[in-house]
Amino acid sequence: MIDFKHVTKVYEPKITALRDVSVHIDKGEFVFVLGHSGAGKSTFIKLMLREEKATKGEVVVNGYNLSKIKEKDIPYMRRTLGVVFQDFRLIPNLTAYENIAFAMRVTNIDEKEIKRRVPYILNLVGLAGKAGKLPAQLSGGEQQRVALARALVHNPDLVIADEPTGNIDPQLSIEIMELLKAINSTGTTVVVVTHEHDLARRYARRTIEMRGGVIVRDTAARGREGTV
Amino acid sequence: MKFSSFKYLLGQGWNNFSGKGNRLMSVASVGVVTSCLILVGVCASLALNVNSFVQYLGAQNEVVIYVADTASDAEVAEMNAQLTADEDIASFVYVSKEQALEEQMGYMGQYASLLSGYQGANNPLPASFRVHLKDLTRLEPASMRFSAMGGVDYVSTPTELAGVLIALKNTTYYAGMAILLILFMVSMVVISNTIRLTVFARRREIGIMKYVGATNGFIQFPFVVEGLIIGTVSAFITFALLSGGYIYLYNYITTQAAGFIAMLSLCMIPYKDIWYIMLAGFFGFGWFIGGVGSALSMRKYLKV
Ligand SMILES: Nc1ncnc2c1ncn2[C@@H]1O[C@H](COP(=O)(O)OP(=O)(O)OP(=O)(O)O)[C@@H](O)[C@H]1O
Ligand SMILES: [Mg+2]
Repeated sequence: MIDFKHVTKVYEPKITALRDVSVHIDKGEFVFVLGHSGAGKSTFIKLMLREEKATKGEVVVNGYNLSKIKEKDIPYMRRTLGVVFQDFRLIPNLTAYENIAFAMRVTNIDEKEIKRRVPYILNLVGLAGKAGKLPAQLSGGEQQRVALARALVHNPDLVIADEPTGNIDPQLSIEIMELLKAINSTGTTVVVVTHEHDLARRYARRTIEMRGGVIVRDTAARGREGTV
Repeated sequence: MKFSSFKYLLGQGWNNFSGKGNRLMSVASVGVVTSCLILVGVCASLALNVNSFVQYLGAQNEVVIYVADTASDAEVAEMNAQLTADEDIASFVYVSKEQALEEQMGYMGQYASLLSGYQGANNPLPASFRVHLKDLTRLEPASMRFSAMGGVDYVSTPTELAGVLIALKNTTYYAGMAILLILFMVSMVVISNTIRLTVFARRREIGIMKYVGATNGFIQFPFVVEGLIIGTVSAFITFALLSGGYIYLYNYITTQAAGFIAMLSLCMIPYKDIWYIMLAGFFGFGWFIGGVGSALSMRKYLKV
């Protein structure tokens, strides 16, 4: 569940990346966030991750009010969501398996649980056979699937993907999108940020379009409060 | 924290210290921190020995409290009680008028008979308390207390020597502190820079750790371990080197040396009375700068 109420984000000295944005995304939704470069899409995501703090307004994610959250609670908030980036952000000297295990280890999960869960998730993203490969030995699509698997380790309520198909060819992006759909079908909220209109059109899901830091279109706007 | 996590973090810390890319930096910073610790150790043992020297000299000098001839027996008894209770006094003896005269006659040897007329009521020598202080730097307040006792004629003190000793002690103390502070900061800067390099090399991992919800404590732990390892290794090397040096010097001074240096053997602190101070000092210093240095170098990267 994501709730933005009149959120403005100003990067000092004076770049307004988001301007009075209000939007609500329910649990279980699949949403595209669409917009040209510089529209404010990544800023929108950074606010959800509490990587940045809203200048004005209120952001609530998975029950955490990010305008009021204590520093020490941020890690626990982040465990309720999973993130995937355009550049995968895998650790180059760790295998696919170890990259995923790493995310569990650093959040204090014990070795027994890791041994049980990592193969399960690798299987889920269709990489059971590539567990021992280093990122450099995997294709872009495979690397992105490892990143997606890593985002799923904490069984999150929400998966956020910033340009997940930006660095892989169209054929492979379909694989990723299918995976995200499958994840969504189990009740997980999925937010996909993209500048590819085609992608959003092809999947015909709720689309929030941004331009110059404001939401200019929201296909779910009808009957919903607060949006254009 | 779970035991497997703890083991993992220790392993990561060790890896930070000894991993391929970091080895050279680790060796370099152990080198610098060890050098600092050696200087600290030399200064500290010097200071401790100067202290011991000052105490030794101090103990050789006595304060004499001359009792007025008019003092009553009760007043003398009261003085005795006060001196017995005095914290600054190592030992004292009472020398009566008769003993003083006898002593004087002893000094005069064959001419002692010249003093024979001064016995009994004619004895011009005062009774006195001869006092050894524990610490000559406490001379001033102690002699003020002594003068204030009832029945005291006057108090004779080795003031000049005390002044010299106090100056010596203060100089060692302040110079030692200044050197310690400088070395402390140098070591801290070196350790935190080394760790900053490791942190920089691992900034990707740190970023990922933050995204997947690792706590700051968890992220910091291996770097603190790295700092502590640098501190421990440095402390250990320093302790071994300085122990060897100290024992050698002690043996030399107590057995081989002649003249003034040999005199130092009377007050040089034996190794068995100083090793635990060194050990605690080096490890305390090493761990403190290791721990704090690493925490300092992490601060920037934990903001996100
Ligand atoms: N850390 C920052 N400091 C200053 N300005 C920033 C910062 N991050 C983003 N901006 C600015 O805020 C605006 C929105 O940036 P944002 O990254 O949200 O856009 P975007 O929609 O993700 O673009 P892209 O498709 O290129 O990734 C841009 O004008 C950008 O230059
Ligand atoms: Mg972006």
